[in-house]
Amino acid sequence: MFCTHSLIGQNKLTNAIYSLKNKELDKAKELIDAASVDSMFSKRAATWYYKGFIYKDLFKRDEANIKTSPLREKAVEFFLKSYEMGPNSTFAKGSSQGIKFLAQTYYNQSAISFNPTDYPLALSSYEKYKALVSRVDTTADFKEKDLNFNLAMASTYGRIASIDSTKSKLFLDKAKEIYEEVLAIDPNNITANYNLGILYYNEGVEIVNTMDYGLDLVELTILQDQIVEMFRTSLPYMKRAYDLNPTRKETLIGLQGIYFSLNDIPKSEAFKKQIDELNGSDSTKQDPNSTIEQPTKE
Amino acid sequence: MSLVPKVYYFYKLTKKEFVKKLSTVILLLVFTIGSAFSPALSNQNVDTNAKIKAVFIYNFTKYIEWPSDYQTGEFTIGILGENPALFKELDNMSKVKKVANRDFRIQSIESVEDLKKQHILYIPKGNNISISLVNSKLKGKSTLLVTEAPGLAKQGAAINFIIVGNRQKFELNKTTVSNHNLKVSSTLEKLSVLVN
Repeated sequence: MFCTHSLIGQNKLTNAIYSLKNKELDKAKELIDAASVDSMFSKRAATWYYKGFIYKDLFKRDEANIKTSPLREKAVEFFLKSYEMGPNSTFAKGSSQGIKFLAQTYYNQSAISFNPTDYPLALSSYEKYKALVSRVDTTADFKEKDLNFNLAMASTYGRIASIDSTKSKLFLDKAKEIYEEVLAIDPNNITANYNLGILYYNEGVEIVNTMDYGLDLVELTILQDQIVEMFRTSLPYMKRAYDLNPTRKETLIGLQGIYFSLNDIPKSEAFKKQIDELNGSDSTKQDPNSTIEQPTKE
Repeated sequence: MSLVPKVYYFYKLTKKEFVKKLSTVILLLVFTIGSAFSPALSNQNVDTNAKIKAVFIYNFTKYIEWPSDYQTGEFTIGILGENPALFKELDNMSKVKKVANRDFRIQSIESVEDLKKQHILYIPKGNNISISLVNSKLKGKSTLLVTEAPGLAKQGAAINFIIVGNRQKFELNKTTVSNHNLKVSSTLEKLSVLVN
């Protein structure tokens, strides 16, 4: 009796593997689901490894484009179960690779979700990726990936701020906070330095742009202090970006604008000259205001 | 139990498959991370100084009193020389603001010879125009002469923009103002840098 039961149970698993090999995934799922609730196989790492593998293939077939795929969640759960049943077992390496594979899908999902609508998914997917990799690789180093992730997230916050004025301050502050965090780890990060410089500069410009012409002189004095403070705060970041790459055109344009707004015209013009040299043309003979719309003369 | 050898055999196949699939994913990863970075924010071609000057100039219209023969018709601001950014700001201002229910008229003036009965005459810096020549043309007129270069208030401009601590401030020459029959409020005087 025991022998018959054992053979039936064994058939469930071996048949599931056979179906998987023949790409009969639905049948494989049915068989492995049955095997995994069979007390004979439910405590074996092999059962959960194959269950994870079958669910992983089902995810790829049916739910690869579903952001919150239940099949992927299940596959992860089964691979983890197999891995934790015997980290040194025959199936540990396969389960580990299965987990890493699915972790990569979360990472990719994060990378394509950096937009004003899906950014929460970018965040949760990246956290999921890190959590999974950490489970099977305790030496995993996320420093560089964290840096790239933070830069992309800050950039996304900047985009949200630019399209939604009601949330502008909130998201600009979030972006600034992230760039500061990046610079605390990597002070020479050119993207963080440049973008932080631009964010502060734009904040100053935004105050000017929204200023009413009828503003009282006393209020104007207060606002000028705020504007100058923004431009002054912006300057060291932009200068750092310049030191790191003195020929980057965007940085030169940034410095030209900041110095101009700080009424330091000689320095602004010096950077304009560098931009002109980069452009391969000497525009020093041109009207310095030539990029600004010309007035209609009476 | 003959399961283990079979499993091992199948496991070897799946391992190969994993390696193949993983390398595909890693390639995709590099691409998607690269495209995840959005361009940095930028806000160029904004002349913040011109907007601030326009706000100052609008305040001058509120805190300076012109004689009665200047209190009808359009309120004219002339710019003698080139400053397209300021012209644009003043033009924008003229569309939304008035001086005591009077419309603004912003003029670009090419030559001293073209000066007429402007309420305010603005001379941008770098325009190599003689202040004494302008003042001789403005003699007997109630035109507020506004400049933006060091020392011009002492040379005869009524108001001269200066830079103090990266901020725009203005010098006031009370003698010149009164010579043109203009009255300055105490508020404006307090916020100015007096040159005499």
